[in-house]
Amino acid sequence: MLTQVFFNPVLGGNVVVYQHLFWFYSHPAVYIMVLPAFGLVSEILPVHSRKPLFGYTTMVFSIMGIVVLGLVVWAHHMFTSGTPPWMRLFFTIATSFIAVPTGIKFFNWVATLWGGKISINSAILFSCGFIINFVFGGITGVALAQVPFDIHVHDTYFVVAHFHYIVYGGTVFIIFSSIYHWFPKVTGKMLGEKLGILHFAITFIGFNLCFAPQHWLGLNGMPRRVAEYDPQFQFVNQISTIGALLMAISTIPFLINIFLSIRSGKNSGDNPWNALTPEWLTSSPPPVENWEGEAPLVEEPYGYGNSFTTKNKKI
Amino acid sequence: MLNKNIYLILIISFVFSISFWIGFNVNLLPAEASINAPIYDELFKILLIIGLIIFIGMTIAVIYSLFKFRRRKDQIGDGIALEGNFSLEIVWTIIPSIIVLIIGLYSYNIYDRMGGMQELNHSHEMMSSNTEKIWAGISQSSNNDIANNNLSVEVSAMQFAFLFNYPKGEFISGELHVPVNHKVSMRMESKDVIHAFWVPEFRIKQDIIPGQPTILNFTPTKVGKYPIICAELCGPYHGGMRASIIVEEESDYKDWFNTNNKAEVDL
Repeated sequence: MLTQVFFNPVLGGNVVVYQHLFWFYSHPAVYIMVLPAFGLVSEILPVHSRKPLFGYTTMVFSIMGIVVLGLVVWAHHMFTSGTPPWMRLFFTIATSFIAVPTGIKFFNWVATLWGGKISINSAILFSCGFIINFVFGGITGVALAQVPFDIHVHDTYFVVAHFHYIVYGGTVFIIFSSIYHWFPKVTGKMLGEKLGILHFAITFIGFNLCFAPQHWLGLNGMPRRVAEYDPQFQFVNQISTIGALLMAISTIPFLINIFLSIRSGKNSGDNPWNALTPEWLTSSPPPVENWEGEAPLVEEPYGYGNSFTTKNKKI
Repeated sequence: MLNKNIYLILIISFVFSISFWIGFNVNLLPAEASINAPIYDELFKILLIIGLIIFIGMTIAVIYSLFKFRRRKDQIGDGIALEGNFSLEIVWTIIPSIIVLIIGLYSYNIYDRMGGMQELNHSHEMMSSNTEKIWAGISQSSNNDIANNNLSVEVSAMQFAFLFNYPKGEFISGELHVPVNHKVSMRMESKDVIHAFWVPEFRIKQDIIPGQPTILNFTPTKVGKYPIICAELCGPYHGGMRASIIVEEESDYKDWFNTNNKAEVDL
């Protein structure tokens, strides 16, 4: 391995080919981080807003669209390396178009909320926080896909901010939302809502305080991957640090919540959310192999709404 | 029904006006000090306004839903059993597609105006007589008023410094001095790993790649001292890899050049 020559210019190799190799794998890899979160939020929103998932079919096709387009966008990480102009045009358009299937998903999620009977709890708050953060991260993503825009902010804190709006504001928010949603199924105990909402509030404020100012830092000349910065960036970096501290503090109510719940939490029963998907039809926690006897047949796993459960005529 | 439409129109005009107001009045960018900078800022402004409209609109929709459709204490039923709406799906597929397509083509126009689409190997003939391949870069066609007045500089980057070689004066400098309103053509080469040349006030950046010479052309428009920042992680002291570009009046530049000049000819 030490003597390979493919990427070594002294021996006639090409260093940029290594960047292509890296990003050809690593760009689809960031979709691996976020696509499961998209699936989770599609499960959580209908349960807590008591409505079917809006546009299930387009949701599935838009995931396919993201997967296919995700394969042909890697060179948008390399707009300042040696990529020829025609290649940049192709990757700009391909990357911008990922916003279309992703946008469909977000419009559908908001439409799922619209007209529901939304229980304001920790799970739905984290999911809605995710929508707001991810829309912001998606908008900066489309901006970064534009070659001339990227030439200024490439490898700066702007990219750091964009990335964290997607991966922390997106994926991590949904991981928390999922924990509040499925913890009762896993343990048979409810998590406390007051501590959960406190956890959400501190996380949301801390997260935005930490990463929103970094857009400004990047635009104004702070490169990423540095341990030192210019004095004029001190104040904004300090704001960012306070946000990071708040994010660390926000895990304290979360951990206390889990500890209290396991020690003396309210029993959740099998189906605390009145959900229709199959996992809620078994006991909490589920037995070995999930079901006592045969698994039930579920025909309408997302069949929420008044026509299915005609208990309340008021909409 | 009429009432509802009036509220919708009010909210939409509020979102648009606040987005346009922020777009035109809030400056998030550093000083504009090159020909490229105002072109870049034009694109930035348009992307900011479109982005704000979408972001504020979506945020209002989410917060309004959470407030308006929240479950009240006495309610036990479900929401409406609405599983989708095909025409809405078509609308929010086609409108974003058109928007991103227009943004993509517009940004390409901006990129062309910044010089990104120029043929690299032709615009560079002044630098060297041999037919060396230029791999990448940003080149600018010579503007009429500043034609034939290119300043050529050869940049070498290494861990952790930039060196600027002025071929006309046969000397090497650690600071880049350039006269204002003159086109500067730089040929850049790395001695070890990948570095990048970035001047935030000029809105330009180009990687400096070992084994693949790149070029970067720009025209400074404002006298002053600006940082040159290495923007590609190049080793443990990457954060300290800085240099300065000093844009001066032509007479000041000539004085500086002549005090350093080691060639026999005068500038």
